[in-house]
Amino acid sequence: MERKPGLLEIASICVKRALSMGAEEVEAYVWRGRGCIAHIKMNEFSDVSSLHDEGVGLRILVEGKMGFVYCSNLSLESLDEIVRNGIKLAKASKTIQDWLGFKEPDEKYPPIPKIFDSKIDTIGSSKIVEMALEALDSAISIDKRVVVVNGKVLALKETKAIVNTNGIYNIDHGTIIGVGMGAVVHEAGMATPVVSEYDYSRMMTISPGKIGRSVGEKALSCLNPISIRVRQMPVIMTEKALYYLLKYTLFEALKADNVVKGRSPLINKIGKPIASEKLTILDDGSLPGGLNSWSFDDEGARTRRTIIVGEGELKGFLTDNYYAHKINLKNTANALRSSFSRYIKPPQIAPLNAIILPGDWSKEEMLSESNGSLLVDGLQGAHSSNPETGEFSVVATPAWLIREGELKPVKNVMMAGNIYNIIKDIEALSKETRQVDFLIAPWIKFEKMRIIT
Amino acid sequence: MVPGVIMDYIDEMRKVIDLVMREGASFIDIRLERSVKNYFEIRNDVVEYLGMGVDEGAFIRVLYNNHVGHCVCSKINYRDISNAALNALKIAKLSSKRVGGKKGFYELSSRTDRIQAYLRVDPSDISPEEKVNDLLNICKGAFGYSSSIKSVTVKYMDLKTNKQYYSSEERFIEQEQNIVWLYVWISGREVDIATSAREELGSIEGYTIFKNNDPYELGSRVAERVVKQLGAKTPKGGRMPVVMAPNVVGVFAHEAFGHLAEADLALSGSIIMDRVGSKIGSEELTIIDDPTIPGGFGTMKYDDEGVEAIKVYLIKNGVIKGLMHSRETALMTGTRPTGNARAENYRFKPIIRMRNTIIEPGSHEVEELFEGIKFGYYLKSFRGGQANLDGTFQVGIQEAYEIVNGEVGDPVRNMSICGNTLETLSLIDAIAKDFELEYGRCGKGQLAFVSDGGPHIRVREIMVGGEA
Repeated sequence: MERKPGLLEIASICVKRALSMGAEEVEAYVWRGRGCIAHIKMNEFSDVSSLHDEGVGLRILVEGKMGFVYCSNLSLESLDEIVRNGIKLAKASKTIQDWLGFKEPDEKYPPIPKIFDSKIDTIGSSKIVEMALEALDSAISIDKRVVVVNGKVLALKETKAIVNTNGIYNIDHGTIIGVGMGAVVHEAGMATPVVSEYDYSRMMTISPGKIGRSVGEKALSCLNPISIRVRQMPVIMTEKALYYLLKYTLFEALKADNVVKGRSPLINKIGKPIASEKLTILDDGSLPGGLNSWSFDDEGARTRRTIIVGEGELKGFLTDNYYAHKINLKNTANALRSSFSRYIKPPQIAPLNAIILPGDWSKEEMLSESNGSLLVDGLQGAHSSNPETGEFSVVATPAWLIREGELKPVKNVMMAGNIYNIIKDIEALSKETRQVDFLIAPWIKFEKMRIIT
Repeated sequence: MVPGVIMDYIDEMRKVIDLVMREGASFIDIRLERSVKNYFEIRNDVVEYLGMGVDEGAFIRVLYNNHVGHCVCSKINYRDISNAALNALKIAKLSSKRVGGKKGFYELSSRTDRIQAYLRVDPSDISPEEKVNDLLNICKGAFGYSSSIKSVTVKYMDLKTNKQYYSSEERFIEQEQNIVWLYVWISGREVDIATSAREELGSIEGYTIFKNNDPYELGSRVAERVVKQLGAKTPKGGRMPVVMAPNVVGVFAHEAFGHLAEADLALSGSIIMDRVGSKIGSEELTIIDDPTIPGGFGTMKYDDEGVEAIKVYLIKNGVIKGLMHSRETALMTGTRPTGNARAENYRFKPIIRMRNTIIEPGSHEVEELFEGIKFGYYLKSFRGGQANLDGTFQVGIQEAYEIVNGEVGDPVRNMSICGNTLETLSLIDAIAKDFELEYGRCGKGQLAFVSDGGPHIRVREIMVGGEA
């Protein structure tokens, strides 16, 4: 029987092939994903998809200039086609300033605990369907007015292999399972905004029923919103609201490439205070069980823990191999290729598992001590923020006014400001944290936020 | 097998379809796709990224006993596709054991068709060097305009896709599609003030984006907007009258209203659901999703379910008319599919998406819209927008001007508008006779290239917010 080559072997073949066709330096990234997704739509189980995707992405250097090419067909003909194109593109490009070569191997690549679970690898579609049904039933059994607009349960096994002409020869496997749901409550011709809940994990530890119940309850709590008329008020932002707010502002400014290109207001701020002393932010691509944890980043550097902001002081930036050198900092191993079908894009600097260190308030205490504050769980329009200045102007939805221990849903509330002003005035952080995409965060209470109604 | 000509596959796909139907499926469709994409990114005078990729794969959808199974496979050959089809059937069968199903697809009559794209200038005939040179000239134009310009980002893509559709209805459709897309982002800074402006251009006729837009001049034109903003005021928050330019009208039609009229979202409880047939705006207000407008990103003959793409009136003369449908929502609601089901590529299932969404021009001269406004804003171009099913929307405005006593006045920066869509539509009190079509992208879990547009319109009152 013919033996199928492994991913490392395919990557090595790509490198050799490209070298023989005229490339001077090559990096081959081969990715394979196998998984299953069950969808919920309009309060019903919708469909199941089985996914099989694989491909290779090549960074090719000729005369100090780079081209990137990829293909999903791993036949030799197909590889030759993209290598030819890659060399053509590299020649049309411009010399990369201060290029020192692709990543060289680190000494060790310790395996990361809790990023692979064979129970997810072998889960099978019927279990996924069962989990989706459990999530759906739990949501609609809360109240018959709850409508689950969409939802999904997915399980995925990924393998990534990197080989380059500087000696990188790495492979790693990981799994992920997740439940995500969006729901509304529809009553008398009025609809609440869509509220969402989700839980993702590298290990088989998620509870679809819990997510279903909490999305249903959250949607119900948005019924009969009131209008408020204030100019300024304290705001508590949940992990999810913080994720949207920070993703398009602070985390853009923390990327070394943006700093080098003059697109970050944090340039020349290392060692200076930029936020309240209550704020400490780390990034850790080696965090056991972290959603973006792997033993190496997407160009082969060993993942590690880095302090970015320590007690309000800027300590460093997120870098990859090239920009670490450009900006004269240590490589923080933050090269990431976007999720699923990762081979189709070259690596870019991105937070892996960014951690905002928790405070000492429980969420309940924060609520009970915040009469007259706003609790915000989601933002609309965060992506239209200005990453180069930190200015934002967003709609808070869903959001509730905290009044005498009760949560009153509010409508049409806009929040505006500058991220670098509001992080100077942090009043409290919760002790519980949660991971939303790359961000592991507590709830944060900001002393004052400009409100437009 | 190298995709390209439908006859290469028709026998093999028929065999796959027969196999799965014999095993008890009631419907199957297969999408084969091969696309070649060039993607370039330039920052300032630096070529950041020149990339090219070839995507090849299949999406198979099977209906069994009112249950749907999908399988995505990145190989195009008989063996892999027949295995994937059997796998899709297997998971549909599995799910039918667990849950009572009600799924179905509106079925159509048999048809064989082949649509070839018309290319004025084939992007693959232009060398990477020439493209890079054009993109660098945009940067030169921007930096040449003013020393306040600090950074320029240019993204360029050309995408050529061959799509083949095969179904158990004996529908065999081959389509070629071409997208050329250009995105320019320029930012400037003076002392403590930073501003930016963006521009998006597109074509489905190939490398023609610079035909009426010399790259250098394009760069200076966008830079001019950035520099104007540097001296701009910040907006007064509150409710006030606005005049929206076509660029903002387009994103409003798409984001604020269009999404609510996508049948999947409408059925999930968007505020449109109970209001089809009701009058919500003036006689002059008509909003259409139209796949027949020449040259739009959403211009197509068939969607990704092999359905004829037809023009859909979302609002006609102020009355909410209809929804955009897929085969599935059409069957559920007893109507015909409208050809709105689109998939980003073979890795995704088709879902309801817009194509070219526009507000129809009215009868006023553009100048008339400004008359009588004591104080308000002229919203020239947008930065981004978002909407929710409850009918609220937010649009970030990158370029705005004050209107004082009917005249366009000082520039205003970092502004955004928000409100309730239906209320805002009811407050439109004048629609001009001009028209512009814009090119953009829309995200709904998957990326779609869409167009939108319209004339200038005036809204009596809208909530304006901005930076403190």
